[in-house]
Amino acid sequence: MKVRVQVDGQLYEVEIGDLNSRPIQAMVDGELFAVWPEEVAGVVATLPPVQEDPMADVGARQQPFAAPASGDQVETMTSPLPGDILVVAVRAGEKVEAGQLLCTIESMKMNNPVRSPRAGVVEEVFVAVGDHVNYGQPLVRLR
Amino acid sequence: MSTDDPRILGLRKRRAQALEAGGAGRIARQHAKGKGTARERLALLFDANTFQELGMLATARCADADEHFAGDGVVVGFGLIHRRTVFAYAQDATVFGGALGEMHGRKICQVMDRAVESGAPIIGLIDSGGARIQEGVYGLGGYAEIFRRNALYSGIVPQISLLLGPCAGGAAYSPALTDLLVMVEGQSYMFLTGPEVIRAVTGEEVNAEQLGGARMHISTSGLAHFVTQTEQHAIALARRLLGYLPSNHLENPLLSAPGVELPNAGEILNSIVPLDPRQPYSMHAVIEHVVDAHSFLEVQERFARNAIVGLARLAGQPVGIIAQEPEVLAGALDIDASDKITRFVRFCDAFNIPLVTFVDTPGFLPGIDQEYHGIIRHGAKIVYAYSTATVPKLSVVTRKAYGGAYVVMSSKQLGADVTLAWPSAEIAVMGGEGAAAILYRKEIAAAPDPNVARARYAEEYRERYLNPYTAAEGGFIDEVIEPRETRARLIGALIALRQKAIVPLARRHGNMPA
Repeated sequence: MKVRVQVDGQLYEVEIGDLNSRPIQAMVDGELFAVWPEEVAGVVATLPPVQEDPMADVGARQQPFAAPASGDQVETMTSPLPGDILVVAVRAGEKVEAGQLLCTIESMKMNNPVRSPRAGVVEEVFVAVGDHVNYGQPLVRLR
Repeated sequence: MSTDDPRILGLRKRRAQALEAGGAGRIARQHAKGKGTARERLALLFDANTFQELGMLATARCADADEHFAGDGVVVGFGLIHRRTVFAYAQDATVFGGALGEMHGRKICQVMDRAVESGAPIIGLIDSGGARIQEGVYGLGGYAEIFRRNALYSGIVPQISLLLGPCAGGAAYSPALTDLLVMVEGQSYMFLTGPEVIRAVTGEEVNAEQLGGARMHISTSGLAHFVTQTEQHAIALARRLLGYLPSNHLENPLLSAPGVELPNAGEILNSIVPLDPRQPYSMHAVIEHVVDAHSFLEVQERFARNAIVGLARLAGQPVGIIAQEPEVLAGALDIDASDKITRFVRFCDAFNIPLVTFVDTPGFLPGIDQEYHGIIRHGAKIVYAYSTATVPKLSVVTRKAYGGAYVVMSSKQLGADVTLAWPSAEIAVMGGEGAAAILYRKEIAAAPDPNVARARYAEEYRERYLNPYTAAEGGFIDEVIEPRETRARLIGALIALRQKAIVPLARRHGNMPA
């Protein structure tokens, strides 16, 4: 979505990415910004549920392993391949479902999604949009 | 039937004793762990009342053992699964913990021999503490006899291993030699050297589950092909798997009633590949919308997820599916993916299962680690497997097919019978940026703005080469088709190629890279 915004008399050309991803990416005159919108609970709740696309999500197709019996388990998701962080889709403290997008790494000429292997809570996010990551570099810690 | 003939009564008593196996106490303990006995498991595996036992009264002859049990810790025999003969052995954890002794080994070998002579699959239900120490080398010899048969019978009849308990030490080689290996979460584990030995030698602390449990082998080592929640699920899966397989290498897999495609499959396929080549899509979804609805049974689902292998049906005909998953590692081929693809291609080829390959790969995964660990010899195995496979080979290029990865993934020149491509296919030596950087190095360097020049040359290259038409003009792609036509095209080709017969050149055997 492209919009023109006028601020203090100055006209900016803004290209806004997927509104469902977090952060929302906005390109302002060639510079990339990550935007965390204020989430208004009431409004979000009245939106129609996201159309379940049975084919959209590989991760969700797999039967996740049962949660380990022995309390909380901490797990650090690491980068499967070297590249640049394009999207960080979660924040520390956020609950995630199995198969939910954690971040996207631009590599091998592809925007590679990194998905949560299980349901849990994000304890820490180690990367920001634009960071370069290498094989095995920590991305997100899940609990 | 009542009788007072002492000979018949004597037999009844011996049989009743044999059925008690390790005794009520040990059976209760097995049940308490949520595990069945060998005979209970076999009853689930076979069609009702079709299992016939062999060697129920065989007993260890080792004089050192304190106790002797009829059957010697393993139940073997044959029966029907979906009305086809299958031979099986089930280790009995209530007798010496399922440990393998001489007679135990001989019983397994005999059932393997009979299976091969009669061209029927072998299923092993494994639950064993290892070699019976009291029997020494006689037990070890039993393992060797089983392993040798696993190897010699490989590719003659399907061999399936269900790991329903421990399988430690050298015993683990037998399942590893079989075609398909199913583990049960939290119940089965496999390793060569156990946690105690590892602690003593390397000082590493690890428990049996972490070291060789189902989760490890399904996702990390790639040894297990399937993991199930319970042993009942594992047994049901074995029955389902046989439905995709012939009884032996001389037969074709059974055709089932032609299935139908998922609703709106054509429309979904026509819009599945995003216009932006950087956006991934789900190759799983492609597969599921091409094959008979709900027929896709993925193998090694959690190992090397950048590659997909699995069994499916097209109009009732079993096929082996090989593909890349652009959502994982961009679909690049690496060492593990190469191993996974190779083993599956050879498995299908051994049992007359046609190969259907969906290609979307940017190439082999770059990296020092991959090169040091021998990506060349692992990748070479894919070439070897596809080149030597004589079953019908069909391929569909959905998007990227670059360089060496294009060559190895069932290309026309490697012997694919029918090669199809979607209009979104990009068949070329490499992608746009890389090609531009090499082909126009001087021009880019001399340009006032090298970045602009590079982008322009990349775009030129993309328009000229990154399409299926150059390959189609050269005859490397037989047909460029709309995605929605894929299912009908594949089914047509499978019917046409059903009688395909290739006589390989005479040789002792090939020498596949390892």
